[in-house]
Amino acid sequence: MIPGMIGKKIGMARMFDEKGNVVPVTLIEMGPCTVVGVKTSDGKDKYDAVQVGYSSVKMDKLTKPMQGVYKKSGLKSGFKVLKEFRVDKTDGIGVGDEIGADAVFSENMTVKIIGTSIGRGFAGAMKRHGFGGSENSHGQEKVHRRPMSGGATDAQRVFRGKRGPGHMGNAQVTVANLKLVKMKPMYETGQTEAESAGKTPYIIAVRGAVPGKQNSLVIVEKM
Amino acid sequence: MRIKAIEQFEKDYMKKAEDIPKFEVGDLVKVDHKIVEGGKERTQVFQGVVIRKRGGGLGATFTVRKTSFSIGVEKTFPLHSPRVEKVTIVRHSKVRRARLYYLRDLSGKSARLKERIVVRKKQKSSESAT
Repeated sequence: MIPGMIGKKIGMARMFDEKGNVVPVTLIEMGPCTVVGVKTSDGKDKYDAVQVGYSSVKMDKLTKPMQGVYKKSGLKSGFKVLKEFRVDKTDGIGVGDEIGADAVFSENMTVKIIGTSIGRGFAGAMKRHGFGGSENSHGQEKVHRRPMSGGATDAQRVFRGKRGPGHMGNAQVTVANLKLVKMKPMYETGQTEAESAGKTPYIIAVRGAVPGKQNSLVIVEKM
Repeated sequence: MRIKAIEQFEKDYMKKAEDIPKFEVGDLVKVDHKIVEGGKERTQVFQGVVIRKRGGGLGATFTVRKTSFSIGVEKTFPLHSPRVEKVTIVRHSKVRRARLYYLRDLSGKSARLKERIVVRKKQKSSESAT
């Protein structure tokens, strides 16, 4: 089976463990993912991988090249997100298969989460690198949050990697070793949990924080 | 969608509404609290005045204040925690604030609250058992 899945961050919540301790968790709406393509080492691709799509979307909302990808796979609808996972074996995985989170993950598993951090725009050195800044009083003028020196003067240039103000956030961040503490199928009103088990989106709860804003895309992988 | 998903998740951990007595800020309550002491688990009763209720959903907490050997002690309990076994209302009080922080500055006679007699047809919990 594929080593990971695509999902959407719901937000943070809390739960109680068996001892009654409060556990802070991030909830993620996980999958389902549809297999769009399978690559095999015997074929022309020379490696084994599975391409999966997440969040189906009408064909006419996609670009022509992307429409071609889904049409070639013989799928009726396209997907907002397409992602490839490397696998050891592609046995039993066929194009069009819908993979639910229960087939990939289980509780108490350690996972790795890839997301896009919250964008903070052009941030100063204090926020971006945790610089201390200067005093607010004692004769200080207009220098309270400035980064101060750019380095030695003999070199007559600023060295590469010198920390200063600049764009912060909105970058890919990977957080490893997160524990998946709970997972359950999501259900619509009027449905019961058991009815929707299998292919519907799952809610997975991961201990701790996950990069990105609410409703942002995250990729969860087994470790 | 987002709110709904969180509700779905929290529902499994929430206590049933009928299991939680409807206590208000200012009420004198008894909290049966499970604690682990020396590797053993036992129930400790903490009796005091509710000075704060905050939060909604699974994260709701309430703070109980009591004076123990002339030292003010406050404990904040998560309302839905399985360790909070039972909350019993001892008596209701007449209060005009949602947060009774002013009690921290008072002691003795001035820290008393006026009793509120509640007349209700069906009251599950024991009413003014003093």
